Amino acid sequence: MNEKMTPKAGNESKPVKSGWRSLYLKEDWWAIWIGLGLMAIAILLFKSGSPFLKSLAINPGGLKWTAPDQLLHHFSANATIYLLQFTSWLVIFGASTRVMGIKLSRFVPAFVLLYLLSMAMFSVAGWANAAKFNLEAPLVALVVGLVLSNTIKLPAWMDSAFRVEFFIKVGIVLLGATFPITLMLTAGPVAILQATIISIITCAVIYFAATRLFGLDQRLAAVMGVGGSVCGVSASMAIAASVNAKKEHLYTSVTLVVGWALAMIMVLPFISKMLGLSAGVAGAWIGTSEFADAAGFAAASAYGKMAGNEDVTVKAFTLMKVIGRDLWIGIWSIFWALIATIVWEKKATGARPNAGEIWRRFPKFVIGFFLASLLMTMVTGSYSPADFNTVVKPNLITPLVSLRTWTFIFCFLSIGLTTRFRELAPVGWKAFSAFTIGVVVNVILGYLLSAHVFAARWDAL
Amino acid sequence: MNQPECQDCHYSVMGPAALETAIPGLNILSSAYGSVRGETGLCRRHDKFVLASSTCADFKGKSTGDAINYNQGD
Repeated sequence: MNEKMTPKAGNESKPVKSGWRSLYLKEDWWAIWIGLGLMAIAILLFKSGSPFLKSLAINPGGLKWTAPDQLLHHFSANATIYLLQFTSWLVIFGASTRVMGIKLSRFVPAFVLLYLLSMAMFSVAGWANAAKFNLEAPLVALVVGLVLSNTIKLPAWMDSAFRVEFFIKVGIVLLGATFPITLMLTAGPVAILQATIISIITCAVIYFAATRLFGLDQRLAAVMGVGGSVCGVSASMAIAASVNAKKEHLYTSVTLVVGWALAMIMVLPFISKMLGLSAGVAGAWIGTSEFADAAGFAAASAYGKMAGNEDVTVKAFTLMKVIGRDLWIGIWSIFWALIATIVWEKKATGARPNAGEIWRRFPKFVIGFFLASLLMTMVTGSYSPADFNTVVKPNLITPLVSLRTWTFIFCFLSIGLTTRFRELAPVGWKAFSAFTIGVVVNVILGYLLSAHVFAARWDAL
Repeated sequence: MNQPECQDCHYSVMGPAALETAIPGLNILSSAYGSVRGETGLCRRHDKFVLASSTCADFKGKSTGDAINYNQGD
């Protein structure tokens, strides 16, 4: 049994060693603590009438400056606030990543660079003519990050602060604060239905194309299938042990997912614009087409800015991707474990199915997203619509949106800064073709469902 | 007597930072620090992904000098 790794008899995948420690060792839980913590502080300050958070949540993105002097004046007039804001972010993210095991000596210098670059991105977005040249902050951040990481050799240890997933998870929890719970209840089922159709069909297409058309290893096919249909590399990682995937299988998935995700960030917003899609339809389409949350938010946010309705595009994307697709990672893990143990040869399989995996692999930050929405609904429910718009929105909601925008910019820059093309594994044409067939089916089917079958739902957002 | 598990094996890579180093690009659009990874680690002996609780005939206990420990960040 030299090549066989078996789960322990009895309970195959018990939560060894980590258990409760996940509460401070996993970034999903930290995203909840940070997101809800910021919300709680914001609510307390709002209730006490303090304008502190409103001041702290500053960024130059809305300046609409026409001359550099205006920008310089903005920074010099608010230097203390920016310093305080930088310190706050540094403490929040520095302390949390330190607890997770990342050295501060690596995190701090890299985060300083990230913060300065983020200020530059906001400044570009705040230029009065930015929209005219399609200089949307997410796209600019991505391109600047890519150029820097592939021309200047930034040391790999700087990745310690370029935590793409961590930043987007904190941003998603903060997004919950502006996401009405009623919308989740009314549009959620449609999102789940559409996402389920897409996920099952795309996963099956990639799997069968890989195994039947190109004769690839079934474990590689499974890893690519969930990567292209559920949640990118995270989903591939989630089922890797279930099917006993080899390192090269995940490595292949990384290259394919990153390559296609980046291409779609650049292309989908412009195709959506060309097709004249509404903000809601485009958000849903991007939500079904993009594999990873971070990449999808970049594309959705970029199109939302182009369409002048970022709020709706991001909401539609969130419904489709976070609520429709991310929740099912654990179930897919169980499914593939079942296939591996029942259908495939037993000697080639990994872990036996265990229902506990659904919870262990559940993307916990989604809980924070729901809680944030619920909390904000409870806090603001007693205000009349007029009071909400004149009191709550400018003093509570807008500062939280600004904080979320900061985390998103950190994330979009980090995508570029961590993408070093020279480090990605070369992928064979068979794997590339099988995955690409899945991407094409995914994009076309996603368009048909978003722009035709369920268009009324997304247009109504 | 319980069979020793992969998480205690010399060949296993279970720490998130070590996993991200072992698989370049993993951190671009994903993360080894996230919940979805569960207790998945990498076996350097067989070059395959395993659960921390998996067992194997090729188990080798960690030596004092092993740099890669469970949940070690750097």
